[in-house]
Amino acid sequence: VTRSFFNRAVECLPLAEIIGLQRQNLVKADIIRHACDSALYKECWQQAGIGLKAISNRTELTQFPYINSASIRQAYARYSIAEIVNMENTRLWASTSGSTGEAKWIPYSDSDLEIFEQALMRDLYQQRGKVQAHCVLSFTSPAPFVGDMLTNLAMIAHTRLNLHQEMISVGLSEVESAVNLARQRRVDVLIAFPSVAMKLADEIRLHLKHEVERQWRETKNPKWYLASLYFKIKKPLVRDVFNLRYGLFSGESIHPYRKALRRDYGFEPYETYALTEFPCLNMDCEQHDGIHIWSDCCVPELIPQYELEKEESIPGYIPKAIFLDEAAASTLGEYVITTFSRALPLVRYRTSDVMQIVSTERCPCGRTHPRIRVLHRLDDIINMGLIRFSVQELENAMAHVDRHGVVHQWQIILERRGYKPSPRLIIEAADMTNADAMVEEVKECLGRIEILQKGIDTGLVLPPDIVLSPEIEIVTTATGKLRRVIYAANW
Amino acid sequence: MLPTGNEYAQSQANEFLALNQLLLLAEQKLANTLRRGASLPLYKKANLKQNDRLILDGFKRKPFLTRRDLIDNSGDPSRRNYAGRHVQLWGSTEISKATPCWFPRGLNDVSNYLEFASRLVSVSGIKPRDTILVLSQPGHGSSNMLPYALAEALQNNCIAAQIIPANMGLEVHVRKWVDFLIENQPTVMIAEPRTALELAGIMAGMTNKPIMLDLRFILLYGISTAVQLAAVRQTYSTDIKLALGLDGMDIFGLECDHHQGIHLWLDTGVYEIIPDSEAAKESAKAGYTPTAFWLWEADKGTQGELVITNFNEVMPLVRYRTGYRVEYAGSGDCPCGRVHPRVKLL
Repeated sequence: VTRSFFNRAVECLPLAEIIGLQRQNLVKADIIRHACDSALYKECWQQAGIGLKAISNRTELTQFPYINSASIRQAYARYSIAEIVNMENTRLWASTSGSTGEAKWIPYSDSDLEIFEQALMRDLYQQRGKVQAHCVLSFTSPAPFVGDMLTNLAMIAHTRLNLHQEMISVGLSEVESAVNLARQRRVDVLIAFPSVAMKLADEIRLHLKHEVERQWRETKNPKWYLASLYFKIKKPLVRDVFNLRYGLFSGESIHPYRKALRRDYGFEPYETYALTEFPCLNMDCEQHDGIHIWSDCCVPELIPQYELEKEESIPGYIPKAIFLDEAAASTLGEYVITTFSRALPLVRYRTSDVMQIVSTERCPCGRTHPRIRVLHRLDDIINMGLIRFSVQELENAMAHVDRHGVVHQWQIILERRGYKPSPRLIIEAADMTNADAMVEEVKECLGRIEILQKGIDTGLVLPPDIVLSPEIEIVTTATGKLRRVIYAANW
Repeated sequence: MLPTGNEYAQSQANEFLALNQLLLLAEQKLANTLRRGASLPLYKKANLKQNDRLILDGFKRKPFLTRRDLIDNSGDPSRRNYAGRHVQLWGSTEISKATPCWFPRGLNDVSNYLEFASRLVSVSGIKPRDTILVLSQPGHGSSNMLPYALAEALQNNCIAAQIIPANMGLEVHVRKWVDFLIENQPTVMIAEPRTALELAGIMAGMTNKPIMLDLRFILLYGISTAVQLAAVRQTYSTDIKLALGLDGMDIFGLECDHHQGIHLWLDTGVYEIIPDSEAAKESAKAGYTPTAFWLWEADKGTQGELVITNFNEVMPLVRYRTGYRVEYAGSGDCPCGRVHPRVKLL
């Protein structure tokens, strides 16, 4: 035991003092001056009549217009990178997956990397308090995705601090070989996407069953016979093989998986939340009652649901946001952040993530940073956790259906069977000549969506159920907008 | 443990030590390596002893280590198989290989790797304003940590250069990078020949716009054939600097600006060469053990297989036959001033 990363002075400050710290960091980062130089803001700030070059508190931020994912994409399309990003201060780049077609590239400065590292260490050690040597099995997405960066930053930080932490870091294609190694090295911490962890659990379960049966066939040792009998009565579980103490999960909501993870792994899963745009890892504590948003590292806001609805119904209406720490418990809305980056500060960036405030009161764990729950996406992404793609991609795929009829209308309902995403695609066909052949053709065209096909092939998502319907039941938003992607109640 | 300013300075000073000083340093490190290696099952037959360093004859009677030995050893990654108390990081050989091997690194190994990244910056000639594209291969070899280790090294050396890390594992995503790489043209690329060629192929299939026009040089590692090297040269038409490393493990040799061969760093390992004449005898006579020579003692122009003994903490390689056929290119006569022995890849 060497040291603790639990930083009471920051994590448990009274909320008002956190806001004070946030203000200090906001002013110190001088983000408005940095942002003024970026083509991402120039035009829209001019249009909004923003003349400020510096701000002294966060309230002044509220006069700045929002930006969103599309703003970044459009800026990249219209301007050179050097006009958008402060290249002098850029150290590393990471990319989003490009669920909506174009991948967004996000630059990080040295000071950003420092913030991410601090948050990482806060999170990795929060539930243990004191540092001990652990063996971690980490499933990460490869570079240029941000998961790769965070894993390596953690490794470098541990090395710099002379801390032993054994790391087996693998991609999704190396599962089999890594699991073998992990078993022999007695891994005790798992870092993964929830869906990948459950897929891993399924594979280990199958492997165990087959292994026990094979041993009995080959050795005729009664202990293997007893073990095979035991597994006939009781489903083998990961916890029968691994003695994992806890798991950290990211990339998708843990909510549908939590029960199954507890059952199969025998540990309490921890949920994390971060964006490629700002990979400062936020995490739930041992109370598991919401994710603490580290409010000293950024200025978090929320656009409440009623404001979002107004925006939909009144053309040109600009919704008002409230600071996350000032929102009442249960408030639902879109998450907005302002970051302190020197490479590309995000000023009032609408994330499209819909979240709900759990509490802004002190948590029983002692921490005072507001707690939230991430619900779903607001934009036109069909989000099945790790597997996500745009409505446009589905639209394009459906446009290719033409041999046995055409797709007049479609609607996708995202449900779950157990914890697995199970999409149901409802098709209203026109000029249909053969229903079965039409269904087959729709399936075939869905195969054009590479990421969906990968999800089906790897078992992360169940194959879509195609339903032909004479008429699709129209579902609209509160303001009458057509909804083609519907998250079912059991999602 | 990350090298402090002083340690960086020490590491850079080691680059320019005189040969006799380097050999003294290597000998000290070799003693520790043999002490650690002595407890490993991998070297049970070799019967390593610390005083084997009082080399040279004693050390050279130790058996060679082959890739087969490593593969067999990697089947049992239990603690007794590795020296030192803790493994810090596991790296694997490329997953496309039928049996990927896992290689452990200790805390000091990772620390040395970070230090080595700093050397890579200085030797290869990375400058402020460079945009460095680091292509890693599928799997978790040393190339995966390289971009982040480089970022740390650049920061510590106050060089305002930026890094684009990218893994070639998912082609569907690689296709989404093209516009970005056209817009943010790398000035330096660090890659294996296969990944460099793959990227060029994907880009050429997607755009007619000129790509990689600003490349000052490519640092190429993992070269297995001259044909690959020629293909990269032809595709990118830029300066190529070579690095030498082992599949899944760290790079141990770097070429400087003068292109007089790859410097093999004597503060990270010692190197021998099995001349072709000895290899011929080995092929002709079953059971013959070829004689190897210290690289720096070999005649300039000697051609043969490179054998390395590295100073890794957790799994040191002692007399590992790399399979690389090289030509010894001299030690003290590189215009860059470094006397670490140099080899040319054949």
